[in-house]
Amino acid sequence: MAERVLDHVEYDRFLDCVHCGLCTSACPTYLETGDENNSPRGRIYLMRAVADGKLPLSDTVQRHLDLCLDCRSCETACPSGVQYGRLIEPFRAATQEQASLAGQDVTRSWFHRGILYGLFPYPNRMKWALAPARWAQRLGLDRLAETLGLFSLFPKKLRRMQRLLPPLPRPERALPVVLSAQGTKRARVGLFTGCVAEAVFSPTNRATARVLQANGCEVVVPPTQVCCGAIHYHSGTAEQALKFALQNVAAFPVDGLDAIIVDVAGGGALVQEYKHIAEELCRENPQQQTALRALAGKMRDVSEFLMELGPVQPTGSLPLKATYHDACHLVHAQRIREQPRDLLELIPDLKLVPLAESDICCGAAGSYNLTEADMADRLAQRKLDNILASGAQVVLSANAGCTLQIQAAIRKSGKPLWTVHPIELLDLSYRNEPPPEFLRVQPTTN
Amino acid sequence: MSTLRTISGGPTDGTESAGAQMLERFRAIVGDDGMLSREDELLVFECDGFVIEKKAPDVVLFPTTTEQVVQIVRICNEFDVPFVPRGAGTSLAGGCLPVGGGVMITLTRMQRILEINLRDRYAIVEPGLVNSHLTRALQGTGYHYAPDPSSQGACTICGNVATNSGGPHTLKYGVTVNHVTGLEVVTPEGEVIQLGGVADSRPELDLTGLFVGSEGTFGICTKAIVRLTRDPAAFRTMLGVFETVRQATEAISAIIAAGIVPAALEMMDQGIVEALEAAFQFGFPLDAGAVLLIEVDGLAVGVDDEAKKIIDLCRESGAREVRSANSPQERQKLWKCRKQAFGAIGRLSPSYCTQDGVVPRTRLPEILDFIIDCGHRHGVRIVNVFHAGDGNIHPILLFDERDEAQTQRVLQASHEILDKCIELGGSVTGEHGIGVEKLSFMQKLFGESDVAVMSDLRAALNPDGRCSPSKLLPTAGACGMEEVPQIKPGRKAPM
Amino acid sequence: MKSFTSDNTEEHVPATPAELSRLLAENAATDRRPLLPAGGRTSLQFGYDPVSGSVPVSTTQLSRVVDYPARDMTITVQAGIRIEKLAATLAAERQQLAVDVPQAHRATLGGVAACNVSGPRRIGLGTMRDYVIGISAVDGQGRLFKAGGRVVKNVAGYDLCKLLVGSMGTLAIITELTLKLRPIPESSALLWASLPDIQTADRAIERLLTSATRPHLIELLKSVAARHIDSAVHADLSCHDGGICIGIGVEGGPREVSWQLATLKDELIEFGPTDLVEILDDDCQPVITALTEFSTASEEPLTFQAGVRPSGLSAFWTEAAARGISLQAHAANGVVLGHFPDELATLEHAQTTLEDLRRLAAKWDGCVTVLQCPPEWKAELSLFGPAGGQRQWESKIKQSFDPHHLLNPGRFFVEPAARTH
Repeated sequence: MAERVLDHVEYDRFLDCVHCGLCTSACPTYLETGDENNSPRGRIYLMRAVADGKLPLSDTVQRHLDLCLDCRSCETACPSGVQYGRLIEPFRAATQEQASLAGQDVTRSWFHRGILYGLFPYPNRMKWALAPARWAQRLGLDRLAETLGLFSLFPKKLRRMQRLLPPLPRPERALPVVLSAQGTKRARVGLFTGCVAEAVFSPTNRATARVLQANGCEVVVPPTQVCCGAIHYHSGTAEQALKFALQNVAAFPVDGLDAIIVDVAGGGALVQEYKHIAEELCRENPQQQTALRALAGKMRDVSEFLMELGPVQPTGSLPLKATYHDACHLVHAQRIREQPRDLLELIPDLKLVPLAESDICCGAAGSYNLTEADMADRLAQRKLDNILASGAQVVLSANAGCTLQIQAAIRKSGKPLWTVHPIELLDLSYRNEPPPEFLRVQPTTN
Repeated sequence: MSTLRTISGGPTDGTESAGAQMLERFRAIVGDDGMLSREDELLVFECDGFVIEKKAPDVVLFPTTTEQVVQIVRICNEFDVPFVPRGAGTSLAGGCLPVGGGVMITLTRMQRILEINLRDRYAIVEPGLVNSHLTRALQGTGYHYAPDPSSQGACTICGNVATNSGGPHTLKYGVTVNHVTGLEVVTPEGEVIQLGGVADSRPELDLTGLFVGSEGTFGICTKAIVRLTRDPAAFRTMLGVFETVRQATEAISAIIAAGIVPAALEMMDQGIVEALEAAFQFGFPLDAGAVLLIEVDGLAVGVDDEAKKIIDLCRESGAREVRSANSPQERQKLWKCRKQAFGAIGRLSPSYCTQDGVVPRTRLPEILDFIIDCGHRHGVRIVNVFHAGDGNIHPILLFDERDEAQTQRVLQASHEILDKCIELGGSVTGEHGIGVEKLSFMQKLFGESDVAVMSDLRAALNPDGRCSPSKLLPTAGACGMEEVPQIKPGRKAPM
Repeated sequence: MKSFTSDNTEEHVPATPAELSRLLAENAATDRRPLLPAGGRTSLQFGYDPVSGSVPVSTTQLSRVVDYPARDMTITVQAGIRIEKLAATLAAERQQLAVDVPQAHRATLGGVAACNVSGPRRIGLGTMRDYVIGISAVDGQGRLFKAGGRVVKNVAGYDLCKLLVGSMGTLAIITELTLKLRPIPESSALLWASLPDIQTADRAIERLLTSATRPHLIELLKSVAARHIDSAVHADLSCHDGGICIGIGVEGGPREVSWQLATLKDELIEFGPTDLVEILDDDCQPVITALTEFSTASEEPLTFQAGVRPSGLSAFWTEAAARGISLQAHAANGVVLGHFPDELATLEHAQTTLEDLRRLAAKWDGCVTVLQCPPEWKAELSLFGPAGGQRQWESKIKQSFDPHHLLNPGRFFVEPAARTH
């Protein structure tokens, strides 16, 4: 096993860690368990021990590594610049390889094959798959089924997925390939629409497009774009991730665009990681490497891009008390912390209150809330407690996964809170639309 | 001494059953979830921020209440095994090293804030609370908890109590002991006692003051009453740029001598500035010999006067220029640079080690000259970033640990620097603690009777020496355990 | 070194720490006479009476300034130096030991440290424990030892400075101290006002906790006490009967002081202050001195010091005032000093009153200590109240430093003499 790890992981990266421990309390799983084994420093120690042949890759060690959310909070906290992600991702690839050689590849399970890899990456398949759920929701059948315990007949992971589902929007027609700029054209940008997001949060993509238009951007939406490959990369099936990446290279006319806009934080981070994929998986193909890097170089989170461009002042008043949740892949992977807050501050009458542990993962973490249900629930509860303590009516979340997770927690708590993408709030303000009906009461003072 | 050792080390004459029996007793207290005893889960507990000496405990326990700590300690006594408390494991002196193995009592699951009382200016917290989490909870109240070690985002209050932690802002506000008024302690025998309290003027010995900084050798802190401090109304943050280290240290002496108590006064030399500039592009001058990061705080009406005095003193000492941070963002960035300085060292060299010496502030020029000379003599590159206002130096010795001869020279050089600190009337540790790292220096710093009095005191409160053995004092107490010889310098990030 | 005082009693006056060490070692090895450590003898009335046959050990010959690197803002000095002398030495460099000490012309530094003396400015400036960074002392077995050092930041070894400060000479006799110093501020001011009652004063103090200013002294005086101080300094702190006098002190640069004074007046206005008096710069010290000496005014039958949570101050004050007790409080700390009136001048009255006060203080996590009372009461009166939670450790520590119980045996809380309480 040690050799296999060394094949994948650059050993010197282990040496960057000086074992100071400043990362520990930035780690959600450490905060919850207090166990060094579940901290970044501890995990690096474990991985290095395996690489050194000091420890076998036991089930216990594997458990501690699996419990990592990939939130990268530790990278923000680390003063030594340890690239934790670039340790654990290749380490996982190594263990995957080992497991598949031993014939126990988890990625061959029904869940990974059918749902994670077969359904999530494809918006159309997702829309169809979700259609019964949407109808059930509209007819109130989901409540009925829940009451009758019908869902308990589903496999456990499917049941969790069902509970995570938000009220689903009507399926919308695909966005046009080109949307024109309002007023003077200031930029030409591509819009990356994502997969899970386009199915479950299609209004967000539309709001992003409108906000960009309102800011003088011509928006190009290539119909041939595909899933970013995040799920595959993070769960150790890198080849498929590369395949998706290359398809996206083909879909976006990189040279003719000032930026490629992403409004899903996880996907955005991944496009950044296309650089790493380029380095790790295209060593022998410099052409692919260059193309991937070019694509990654153009990628911008929508808030980051708007703040660089200089946003047009929105005018619609939204007298709400709101709090902003930092999506890990925005704040930690891309270091985008201030821009979304700065944008929100532009909205007339919106009161932004601080959220304790705003940058601690909510437990969604891609498919984590399906594979590590217990920890995901604990972190959702932690997030919910902090949200309730903030006294906000609106939770702003810029990542689809987080939104699903936080919405589910809020639904369970029965509190009348609204979870929404910051860009949708901004869109309301640009369009002078009021907030949803149920929020039009005076915010409670806190 | 350690019965438990036989669990991992193989059975000998029936002791295994005693060990197994003990584990069962622990399990009954903390449950499966609160206990680690597999070798592959104990490994990560073999060291803290000090990585030279390693020893894994035989079992790690995660109690959640004082009562559980009491029961655990009593069982340790019953089975005659050593035990050591641990917080976040950020000690830079091996404070959490389980010398001799035994039971590690990890307090990270006792992390609640039990009470915040602004009217009476105190908070009662559990030991595993992260330092900065208390500050976070106090945000917006106008109060804060003053001790701010650079590791405050991770280190725990009980760890701060054990080592009497400092930090940049302790120059003006004092270290941990100045901000703790009471403690709940589980004694080495497994009794709960209350030291100090909330109210002032108690007719009793200041045992809280004695316990703070005792590095776990007097028992396990399970609750702390800490004092809350008013937030300052205004800050002024300045950066003094000097041609030479000598000029900078003279400016420090001049500022202190003028009776100004800055909130913080930190020095960084050229080597550090170079690394920081590479990491953060703040705009530090690369050709300067040294820079001083100076902060004053207080009333808005007073800080400008004080800042002006400091600027004048810097100029008189030969400062090339003195810049002021013009916005909160700029101030934040300056502090980020300072607090993360050690992380940036990785850009200068594959390995480094640091020391935590202290000298009287008027002797700073001398010790810095000595350090530079020492580096030349041993052919070791040394860079400096430290709490100048306290005289607390952190020379960083750069090396490549694969070069054995160089490694030995670094060890030699760092020992010479500490000896020099003692010679100049200083100390070998300002904030990291003696731990296991600097045991050999205790006899240089203190005389025979000093050490004897301290050892007797430890024997009085920790009679069997089971609690945190082989820490702080060179004598091993009743345990008869050898101190671990230091064979090479560490690569570590001092705070 | 052995000498005899005027009334021909025996007394030891060692000239060097080494001599003191030999003396105590010999005593421990041979006679085992109980010893009475003494500095300026300003606190000898405190605590239970010395065991008969106790021999005083005076530190007054140990009064050398060992090292004063003024630019370091530290001083190392022998323990027998008089506070007044020390203050003069420091003042020459515009520095100070920022602790208020009564009878400064007599009190010695070692005594001040051993008794942990403090005064009105403790809220802003702290107490001895915040200033002692190094200590040398001789324990009951004659071991001369040191702890801490001469640098302001140091975590090597046990912090015996903290242990010995306030240990009342029961563990060791302090021979030398290294102190952290503070600059004498350029400017200072006191603002005095009269408030209608304690409840109003309490609200005013609460307001001061969030004041834009940073007072280093917040003092409350009952009118009787105010008059007392008034006459001592001939300041005009007029304070009408039944009212409460509040004094607030600020210091710093001249601009800071005048801005704070103005701000304080604004902040106090809602509490209806009357008789506002401002005292500036050099005129402040006599008032602070008078406030400091209040605890030692000895004509009254009994003087106590209580410490309660600041939020309990008003309740405690009300009860004490109702009993006619003359009161002073370092309000922000919840420290109350009181002199019993003559009506309570019987042991029985004193006992019940003290019990009442202790019950009340306990509600606010506090305690009441008798500072002085007629010697004949001491056989019956509990001077320190019920033992706190740490008594078990105190006994062990005493045993470790003074195994033969030769230093101030039975006099203090560490091992109070058996009483009937």
